[in-house]
Formats: sequence, C-alpha cells, structure tokens
Amino acid sequence: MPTSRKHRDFRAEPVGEKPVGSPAGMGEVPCKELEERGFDEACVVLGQFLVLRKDENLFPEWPKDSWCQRQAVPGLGMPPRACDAFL
Amino acid sequence: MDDYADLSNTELTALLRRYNIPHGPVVGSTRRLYEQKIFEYETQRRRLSPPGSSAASSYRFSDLDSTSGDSDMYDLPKKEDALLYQSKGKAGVGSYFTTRTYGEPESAGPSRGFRQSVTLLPDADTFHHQVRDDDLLSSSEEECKDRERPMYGRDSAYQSIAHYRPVSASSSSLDLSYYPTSSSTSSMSSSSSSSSWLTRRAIRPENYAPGAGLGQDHQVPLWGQLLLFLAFVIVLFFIYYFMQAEEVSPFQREL
Repeated sequence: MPTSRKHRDFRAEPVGEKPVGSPAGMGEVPCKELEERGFDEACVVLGQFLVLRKDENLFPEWPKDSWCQRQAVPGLGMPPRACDAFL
Repeated sequence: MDDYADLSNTELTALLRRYNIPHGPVVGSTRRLYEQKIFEYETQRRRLSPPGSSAASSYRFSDLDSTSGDSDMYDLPKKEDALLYQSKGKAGVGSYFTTRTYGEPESAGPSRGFRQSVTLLPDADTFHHQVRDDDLLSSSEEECKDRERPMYGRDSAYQSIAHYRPVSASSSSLDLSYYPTSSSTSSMSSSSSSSSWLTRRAIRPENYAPGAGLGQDHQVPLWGQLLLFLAFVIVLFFIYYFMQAEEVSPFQREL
C-alpha cells in the first residue's frame, strides 16, 4: 500500500495514545464501532492484535466476525506494521 | 459451530492445541475467531479424509445452519439413507453401464483414499459407511461436480477389465449406498463405479510390476559398466596414439 502521509505519521512514532482513527485506512464507521466497544485508542487495537499472537491473517477477520459484516477494515493492517517498527 | 459455544475457554484451547492451530489466549474478544477456525479446520478435515471421529461431528454440522450452503448438501444424504436401506441388497457384477444414467452427481471422482477407507470395512458396518460416505458424498458433490463428468469416460474404459473381477458382497452393498435410487440401473451403475474403483485398485499392483521390470532393464550390470569403461579407454588411447605426429626433424627431409 502506498505510504500516505497519514501512514508515515503513524509509523514515525510509538503508538502511544493515538486515537483509533489515526492509522491510514481506518474509516469513520469502523472507528465509531470500535470506540463503542471500548477500543478508543490505537494501542488497544494493537493490544487485540497482540492477543491474537500477531497473526496477520486472523487479525483482519476479527471485526468481520462480530460487528462488521462487510469487508475487513483495511486500516487493521496497521498494527502489524507498527509492531514491526516498535516491538 | 454452535456446538463450540458449549465448550469452555480451556476446552477450546485444548482443541486448538490438538489441531495444531497456532493460537493465542481464548478470551472474550478472541473466542469467536477461534471457534470459526476450529470449524473451518474440521470442515476441511472432513472433506479430505473420513476418520471415524468425524462421522459424529459431521452429523452435527449437518444439523446446523451454515452460511456456506452446505446444509442443503447435508440434508440430502439423510433422505438418501432411508431409500438406501430399502434398496440394499447384493448386486451382481455382470452388467456394466456408463455412469451417466444419473442426473445427480455421483461420487465417481472422489479421492482414492475415500474409496479405500470405504471398502476396508466389513459388510456389517455398512451403516457407518453410509454415514461417512454420505457426508463425503455431499462434500465431494460440491467439489467434484466438475470433475465427475470427465471421470465417467475413464470409468467406462476400466469397466471392460472389471468384468472378470469378483466383487465381494460387502463392496456391492457399499456401493449401493452411494446412490439414492432403488432402480436396477442404480445397482448396475454403482457396481460399475465399484468396478471402476476395483479396477483402480487392481491396476496399481500391475503398475508396480512393469515399473520394476523396466527398472531392471535400464540398469547396466557392474561388469558391463567396467567393460564399457575399458573399451572407452582403449578407444581414447588409440586415437591419441595415432594422432601423434611423427618426430621427424623438419630439416631432415630430402636433402
């Protein structure tokens, strides 16, 4: 995926307490649904990724199963890459 | 998949470990995902090989609603079961027809392992066969619909060989279990496909024998190899010897 500015900004620093909409590819609707379920910060989503043992194939399916019946949210590809940089 | 809801987190983890599925902790947020994974794994396992344990689980699946549309497939074998028992009997091997008589897809093309496992079981267990076969039939129906048509041509080629193969009673009744109708053509086509299966099995030993013979013919024995090597050396020696220019001084020609 071409590195947009948003993408680069996200990767440039530790995830910290960035909001869940900060990774590139996180649309508004998935963001809202995530926040409703308590995933209000990007690091929490990253935490979910880590709980799934950093399984890049399984992680995008996680919203698909519960609330997001549409395609997987592309922004959920971010946590794996964030992990690469900082873990 | 609803069955997994009954299992506790630890039981799910044990299942994941047993199936060698890489997993993380089974917690509230991850539970659904891992249930899905187990479900997919078991579906795949059922399609590839029919172990005894999967028979029970496959019946479970047939009762569940599944979005993939498998439920329709699974319902079909159950109806077939009742008809199968009515038509169960011993069919002779005498007649051979192409298996095109059915509009319904037949399991002429499933994997060899499928057929093998079916025939190994004795007649008394035909019910269990049917259970397993029906599941495989339904699952293979999905997968093999396109493959079955070309397989029919092959079956007819094998049928002439199968004329002379004795068919055990168990296998013939087994084959009846594949096909739902009770007409005589069912037994014939089933026997033809059983004979095709039989011929497939029978041909394998024949394949091995000629293969072994050919292998022997192509290998040159050791003494032959040594002889060839010596001949080669001698040829090279003579070439070298006769190629050498005579040692004549260029000045010594005719004075």
